[in-house]
Amino acid sequence: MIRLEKVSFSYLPGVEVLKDVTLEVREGDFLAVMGENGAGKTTLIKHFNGLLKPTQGRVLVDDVDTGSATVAELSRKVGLVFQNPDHQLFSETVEDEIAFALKNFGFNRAEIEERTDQVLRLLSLEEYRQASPLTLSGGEKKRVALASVLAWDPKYLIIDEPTIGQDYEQKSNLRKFLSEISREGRTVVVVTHDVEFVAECSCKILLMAAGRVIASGPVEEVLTDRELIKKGALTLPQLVEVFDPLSRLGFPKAVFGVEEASELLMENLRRLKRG
Amino acid sequence: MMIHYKSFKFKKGFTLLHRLDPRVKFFLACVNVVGALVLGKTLPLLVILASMLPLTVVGRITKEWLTVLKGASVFAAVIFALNFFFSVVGVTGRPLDFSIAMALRFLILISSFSIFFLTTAPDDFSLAVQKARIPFDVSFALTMAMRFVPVLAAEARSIADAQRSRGLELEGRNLLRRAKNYLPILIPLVANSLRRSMELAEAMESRGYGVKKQRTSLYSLKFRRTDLAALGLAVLALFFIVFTRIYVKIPTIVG
Ligand SMILES: Nc1ncnc2c1ncn2[C@@H]1O[C@H](COP(=O)(O)OP(=O)(O)O)[C@@H](O)[C@H]1O
Ligand SMILES: [Mg+2]
Repeated sequence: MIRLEKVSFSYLPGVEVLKDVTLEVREGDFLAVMGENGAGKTTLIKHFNGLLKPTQGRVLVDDVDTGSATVAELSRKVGLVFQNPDHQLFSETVEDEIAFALKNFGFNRAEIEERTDQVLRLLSLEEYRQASPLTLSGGEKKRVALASVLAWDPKYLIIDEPTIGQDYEQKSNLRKFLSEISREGRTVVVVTHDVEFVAECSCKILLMAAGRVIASGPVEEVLTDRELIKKGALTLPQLVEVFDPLSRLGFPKAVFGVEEASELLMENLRRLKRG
Repeated sequence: MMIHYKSFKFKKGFTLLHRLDPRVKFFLACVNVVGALVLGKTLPLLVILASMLPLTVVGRITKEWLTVLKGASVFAAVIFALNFFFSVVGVTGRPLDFSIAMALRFLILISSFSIFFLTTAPDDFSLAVQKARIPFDVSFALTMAMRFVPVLAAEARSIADAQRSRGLELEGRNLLRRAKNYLPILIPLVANSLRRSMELAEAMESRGYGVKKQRTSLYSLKFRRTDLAALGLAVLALFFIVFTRIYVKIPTIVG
């Protein structure tokens, strides 16, 4: 469990970027940290592996205070995938890029090969094994960055803004992938301000605004609450906008999947046509 | 990072020093540098360093300057120790005075440019470089480089965060290993800078950069009376330095 107890943090004296944040990420959780740009999401997750230490309060990772462990030790458990893959890719080949962290964490040669194979397959990157990461497209780079973290099998996977610069299909593949590994039992925390992406996840939401956690609850609750969404400076998911007025006609108040919505509408229209 | 990039970053202000013509300020910095290079003894170098104090007071950057000195003093100490060690081992006459002088030299070099950049706006800087008949392409590149220092520093921090999260250790005693561990930070930093400069070049060209050979500027630099006075003082200081160097037998004050 990752536990934040009354955590406050300032980069510059007098400007609090996190304010009295208390939260828990439990094992097996699938959590979306949401909030507008500048809400403090990235600052928050940098506390999870000790890159930042709270100015007040404390952070515990499996009962270890992050103040008393190194970033490397904590990262073995808490894998952070950063927003910009260009900030981490540096190796000559994709394969080396993935092996980098594995070497740092002391895996032996056989393990390195096995795990590299595994994540390359998992993220459909096999054909790029020998390619230079710097020549890949944006979406592929993001996948390599994710693969390079998944390779060491961190107990907690934290991924910052994975949907930025991704097209619809890439996003939907990513959602499937994250849901899959979450179902297999890994703890997954996704940081994003992309409501459409989260709307179709079966996850819990942690909504942040101006350095505070202003709400936490399942998707159905948070993403249908106009007040909350306004406070968090987000927008309602499009399907919620569509179904909210329809609910007066007896439709469910919120539908989150496109397929589900289309089926529902079809069925009702058919019934109408039949009279 | 022991010397912070902020030590060389323009700090907005309207003091006499800020308003001085950048060319004069640059000349002043050069005079200090020349002084530091031609005078190799503790006493005169101390005088030069001390003469910067009133300058920083006028420019209201004394605090920043002292921070620079503090950061640079670590390096200065290393320079002192190395010189002292090797001149004791070697044959040089006055090892202590000489080693202190070497450390002071370093402090003067750093201070001169720190004071220049702290009080000179990037735009003034580029105008000054242009006026010096340096081709616009070159002067523009210089100014851009200056502007991008903070961007680069922030980016270096993000990259370091990303790599440390992948188990990269930047601490540790083995110097060689530590140096090698900086590669995963340097490579993305350089690669991103190159990419950014390409993008910048494309964006500029698509907005007509380089179409007209003869450029005009909205603002221009004018020499005022204070500039002339400051220039006079700087020239005087230069004469004084050269005179001291040639005709005065400087006493060694320590060692
Ligand atoms: N290194 C830094 N130094 C100073 N301020 C920072 C730094 N990084 C972020 N901030 C500030 O902290 C606030 C929260 O930023 P961040 O955590 O990146 O938000 P988010 O990820 O939600 O967009 C912003 O106001 C940002 O300007
Ligand atoms: Mg962010």
